[in-house]
Amino acid sequence: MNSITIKNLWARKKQNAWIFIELIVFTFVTWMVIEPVVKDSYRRLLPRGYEPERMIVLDVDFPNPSLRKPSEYYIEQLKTIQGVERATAVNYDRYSDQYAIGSLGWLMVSEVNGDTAALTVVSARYDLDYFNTHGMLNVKGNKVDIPDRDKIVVSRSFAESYMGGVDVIGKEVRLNCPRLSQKLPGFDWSRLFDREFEIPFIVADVIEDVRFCAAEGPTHSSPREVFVYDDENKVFNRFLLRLKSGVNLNKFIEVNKPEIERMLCSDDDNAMLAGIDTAEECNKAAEREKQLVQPIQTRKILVVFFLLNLILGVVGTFWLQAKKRSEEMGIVMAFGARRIDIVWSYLKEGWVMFTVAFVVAACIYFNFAIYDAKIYEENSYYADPTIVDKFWSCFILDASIVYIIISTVLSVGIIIPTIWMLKAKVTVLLNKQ
Amino acid sequence: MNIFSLIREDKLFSSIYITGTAMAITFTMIMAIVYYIKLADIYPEVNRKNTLYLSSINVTQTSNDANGGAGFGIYMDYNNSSYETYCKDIKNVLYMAPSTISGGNGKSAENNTRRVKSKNGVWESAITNLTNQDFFNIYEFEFLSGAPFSAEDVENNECTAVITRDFADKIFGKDVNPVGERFTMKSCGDFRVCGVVRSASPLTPDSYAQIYVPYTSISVNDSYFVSFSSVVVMVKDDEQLDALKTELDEWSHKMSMEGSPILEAVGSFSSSINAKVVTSMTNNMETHAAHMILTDPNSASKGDTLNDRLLYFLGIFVILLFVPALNLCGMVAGRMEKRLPEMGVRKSFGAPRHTLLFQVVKENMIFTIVGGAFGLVVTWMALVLFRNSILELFFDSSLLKNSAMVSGEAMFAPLVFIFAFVSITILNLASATLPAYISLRKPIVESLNDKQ
Repeated sequence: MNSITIKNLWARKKQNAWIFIELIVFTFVTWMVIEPVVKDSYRRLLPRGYEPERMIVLDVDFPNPSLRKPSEYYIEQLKTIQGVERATAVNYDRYSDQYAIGSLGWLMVSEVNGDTAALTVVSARYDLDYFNTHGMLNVKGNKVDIPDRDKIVVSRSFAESYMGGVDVIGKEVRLNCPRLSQKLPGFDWSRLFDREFEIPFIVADVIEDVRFCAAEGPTHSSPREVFVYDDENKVFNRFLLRLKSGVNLNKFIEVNKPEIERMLCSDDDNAMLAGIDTAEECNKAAEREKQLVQPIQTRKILVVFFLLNLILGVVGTFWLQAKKRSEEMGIVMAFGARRIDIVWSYLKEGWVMFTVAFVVAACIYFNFAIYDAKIYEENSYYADPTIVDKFWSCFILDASIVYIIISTVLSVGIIIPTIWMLKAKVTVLLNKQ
Repeated sequence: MNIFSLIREDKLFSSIYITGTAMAITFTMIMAIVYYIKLADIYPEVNRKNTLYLSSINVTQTSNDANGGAGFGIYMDYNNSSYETYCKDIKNVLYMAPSTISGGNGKSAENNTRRVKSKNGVWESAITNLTNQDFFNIYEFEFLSGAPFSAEDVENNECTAVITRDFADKIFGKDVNPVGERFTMKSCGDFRVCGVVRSASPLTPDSYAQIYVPYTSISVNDSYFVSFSSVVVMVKDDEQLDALKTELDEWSHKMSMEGSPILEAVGSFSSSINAKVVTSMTNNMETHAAHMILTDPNSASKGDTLNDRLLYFLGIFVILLFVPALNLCGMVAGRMEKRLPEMGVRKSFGAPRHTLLFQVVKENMIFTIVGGAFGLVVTWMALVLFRNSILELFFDSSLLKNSAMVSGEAMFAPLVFIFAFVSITILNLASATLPAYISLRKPIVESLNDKQ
């Protein structure tokens, strides 16, 4: 039967030439369009390392910063609200453009134990229940104990990359990092990475990797994070609330917003609630501001557009082909073939032709994919390691998705018109020209 | 030739062809209208052809072998006076205005949101632009009452403000002439309204704000670091543009040779021995089109150079037009096989090949025009009914909270129709010509004998 399929295909090689080329081009373009969307979806599914679905963000304005009370005062007041489990304060700086709800995080080239690396340094008030309010857990799955202020907390990726594993509690790590080293006396930018300006830290805990924004994928620099104690006397104007399990976030905001406004203004009218929203909404706003969202949405729309065209094109083409083979169908039926045999033989022809076209397109696309991976490897600090580290998994996954999509569309384009035409009598089919 | 009889002749082919064309034209025209809004002269940005954006001074440190290098931009700011020091004395410009909102994509809108107390005592948010008097010459706002602040107001740190009519309604009430009235801006003090303008659209982010004040009127303290997104410059013509580039290059060269406080402030950022520092003010100078492309959110990750991003847009255009063309190509090829005997008969009666080719192209052109017309109508409907979802893809959604409308000026601009026609023609030629040409090359006997 397979040799008959191939013979039939070869016999109609002139008619099939256009379709074959079309299938190659469509496969290639489908791959190009689907691959980024698959990567976007993969990024979204990666663990976030904290629990934004239970968090509320409050932005507070202090018209007169000198009259502002300590953060602990506001936190204690906020914790009295029903439904609030924990609260913390974070430094939020619009100019940082790094994190939506997290503390000011600086992405910078640093030296870690003599190795040059790109790190994210997050400054946080450990003593304000920072880690547990976020729901960050250490690598053993436990809550983070409040460490000494002169110790640091590192992420799993950081520990594995630069310290050889996650059993590093109590070990020393030496950092030359612009954010931290510039505070040292005698600091000189031209000698940023001199040993003189290394800062030794003891690791207090290792937490799971954190990604504040879901749309941000891992890069070689993130989530290699280091959390240092924020000892600067800044005006913290953002408070995070962790709600108890089962509390509806939007209902909480609706019910408690007036109370929070009153609470903040109660003492000296120096605090104003500038904004209250769920952490996820804040993250989405940050994603838009960081221009992460539009490219993702554009890619999705391109996929939809392309799939519609694919359906129209492939279904339409095979539909017209089926119509042209009506006489052939009539002859075969006159010789006793069943309808199912005819449909099956046309399907096999379509699948064989598509599979050959797919292999050709895969070979072409493979060159592009390898080239892309090389580009990312050379630009390793900010590149998405998925492209390089998981190249074959990604390639095979993308190939499978593309194969399934196009073969499904092709099958629909063959089955439906063939069955529809086969409903007619043999004589009608034989007379159709 | 009767269009309807042509369509009815093969309903399946016609419907698939028209639908495919309509879809391609819809997506292409949506992009065309959006980029028309971004590129063409739209109120108040009616001088886009002559407008340039200077976002920073480029400082590059090259090592001796001229292969290494590091660079960054010194952004224009007021607090450290890089704008005042390095830009105010530029001569070859018609107008020049620093601006805190001209980041090109509204990205700086959030950073420029301030709170203003209305007459009811409610604090309202307003995007505030810190600029100078030339802003209203570069962006030709329509003044409904009053006048812009003057150069003297800027020199004297006067707290005057130009506000939009919509915002005036919000803080002073409707049907009130707010010129001369005062309002309080949180942490900045009281301002006097000197002019009221017709609001710009959020779709023109370089000029969209609710309040425009002199940049010198804001107290310079730790809380408010005044950082300009760009220094917006307008030139008279290409001649003045060339003169401006020469002036800036000469100035940059002088700074590189003689050193400057800006370089001392930056400090050395490379440990290269014998490194040479080169500054340039023209490297980061953008025309409006370049400014728009480089700040477009969709192309942000597609490379740092204009060429990289243009290639990206070209790729999108190719996908939008040529993929459907390929679709339709296959269908036309299939249909041509069916019509081979017809073509064979006509060729045997002496019809030249080009006549037959032209007939096929003409027939397909009818389908393409019908599909294109449907596509245009769907585009307009989509831009009205789904405008937020569509515009969010191309503009900063934080600016679109007030439901921006795409104006009739943009949707029905002559250029849009011309682009639609060109797209339709390209689509038709791409999809019909090649398969028709290949089919018509067959000898007459083969065409007549070709069985289905």
